[in-house]
Amino acid sequence: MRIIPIISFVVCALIVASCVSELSPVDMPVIDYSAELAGTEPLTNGTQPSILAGVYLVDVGRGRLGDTVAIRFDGRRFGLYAGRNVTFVGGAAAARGDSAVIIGAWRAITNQDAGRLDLVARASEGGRELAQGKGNGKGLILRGSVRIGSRTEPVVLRKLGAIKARLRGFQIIAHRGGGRNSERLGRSENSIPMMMLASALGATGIEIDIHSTKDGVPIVFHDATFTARTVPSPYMIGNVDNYTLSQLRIAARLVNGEQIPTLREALTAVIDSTDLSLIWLDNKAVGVVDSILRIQREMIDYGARKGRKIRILFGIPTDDILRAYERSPLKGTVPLLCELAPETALRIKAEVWAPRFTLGTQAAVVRDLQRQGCDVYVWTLDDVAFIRRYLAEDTFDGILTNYPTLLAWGFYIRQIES
Amino acid sequence: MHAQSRDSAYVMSTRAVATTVVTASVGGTLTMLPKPLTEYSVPAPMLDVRWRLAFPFGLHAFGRVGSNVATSLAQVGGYYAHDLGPLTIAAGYSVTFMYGNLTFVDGFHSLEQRWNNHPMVATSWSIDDVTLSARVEAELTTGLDRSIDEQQVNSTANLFTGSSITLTLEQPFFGSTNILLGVTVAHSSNPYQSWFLYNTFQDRLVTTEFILGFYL
Repeated sequence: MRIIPIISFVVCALIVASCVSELSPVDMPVIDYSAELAGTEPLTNGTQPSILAGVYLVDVGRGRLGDTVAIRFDGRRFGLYAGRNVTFVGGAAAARGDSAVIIGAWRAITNQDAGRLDLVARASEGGRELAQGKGNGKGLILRGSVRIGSRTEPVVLRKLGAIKARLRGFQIIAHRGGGRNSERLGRSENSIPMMMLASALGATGIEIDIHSTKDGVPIVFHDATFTARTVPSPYMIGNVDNYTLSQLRIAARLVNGEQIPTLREALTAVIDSTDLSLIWLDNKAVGVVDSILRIQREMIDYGARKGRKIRILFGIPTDDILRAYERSPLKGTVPLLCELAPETALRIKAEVWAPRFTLGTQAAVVRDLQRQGCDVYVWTLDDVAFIRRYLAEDTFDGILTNYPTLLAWGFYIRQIES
Repeated sequence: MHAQSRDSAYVMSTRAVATTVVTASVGGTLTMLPKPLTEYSVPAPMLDVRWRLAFPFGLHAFGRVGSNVATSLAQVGGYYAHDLGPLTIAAGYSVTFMYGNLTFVDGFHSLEQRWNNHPMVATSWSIDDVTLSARVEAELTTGLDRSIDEQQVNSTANLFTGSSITLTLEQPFFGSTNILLGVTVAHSSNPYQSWFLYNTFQDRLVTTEFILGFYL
């Protein structure tokens, strides 16, 4: 046997094989909004937010954004969603004199470009009406540029119409707190930084997964076991519930370096620091159902005290969780989301029934539950064709997805398409 | 110099072998599934049988059968080869049928059937009884039928989905047994071993597959 050719070939093969597609996070620009918006006035009065929000025609910049974009604005947070390259911008807007300025961090998911967007609504192009809170913003023009690396490209957007009132109750629900680890966002699934980003991604709500530590603390984590997918440490192996919370705090870091949050920490952060209006607790730990219910109840009350309109739903994905819920002394104290049969959802008086998408659109069943006061959210749509098909059905009250930007853009521009 | 390899029974080599003799290797492949889909390195092994049959005038038929239960494939094709001293050049075409069937732990049942076509060029270089080969193939997906449970997910045929290069070493190993070592680097929006994972934006991903075989 000639050993040298074999060794040489194996070495060369390993070198060649190292050129695989990696999963490196893409950094987004950090913007100091308080410094950049110094001397401006907030756009929070009266109709100002709805004047800026809407669907816009892209006059300049179609190579980056496509033909249309959707803009969401609540008076503080600005979000822009485009179908081309699945682009989102998270930022802020404010009035400066008789015009308005918008700044935000730009990210295109498909080509991984990241940069900064600067727009101005000039006084003569609708900025005065926006600053004064007059009119409906139709014809408002936003001019500016996107900066990506050393390149600066012009962008001009012209408002086509407002977001229809009936569309505003629809929930765009981000899977695992915003998306999986694979989106190169630099934030790990089910981490608090990811939840903070969810709104900028286009989500109006999030789904988070609940497991338990060995000492019975509900934590936000998807898998039952540790793998390099979630916690890339050689010391963290086996079942999640083999570790106490203090052990996790010392040894476990998510793929982008964050700590695994407890349920209480995550809910507090979302209530305090986001504008999300829905949290879906996907419960995977039968043994801590009572603890989850207790924390959920406390957090609902906490949100109410802070004046937050936020719906926190106890998810029932399996018969085991259902049995644990029905045995609990806290049964009936919190709103429920049921993934089981529609009859079960009605029997336990769930506020939401959540079927998986592989069961089809089930229009008749969905409408029947809605008539009985039950909202219906479908999970988990990631395929572009499925997102379009389920949006076109126009029956669901919410869709769970790993791509809230894609769903947000598709959802908001439907009014223009139709 | 290349007289010995001319008589050797190699599969990935494009050098002519004795006519009417089928050469076959039995072994396995190990594919590293693409991280952008799996989120971390997941190896996917597969049983792998490759064969080659030479005809007169430099014509050859070749094929491959592989399976790891979740993913199975059968490939058949042909090429014309021309010897230039120790170097051989070849051009040909093959067709692959892939069948995937997988039930996830959470109950989703995924199925896929796919027809891929592969125009190819190849070259082999022989030194004594050692042959190095390189094969470059395009990947044309002409049929794709994917479903999850009762839902038809995708029947789109993106005609050109990628390309690959396969480098192989064939030589005597032990006694009369020969060995095949190889690596394939594929650049594809449709990595065949990842068929059950969504590639939502049809990213072209680079994946590698190691090949080990022994000759029957």
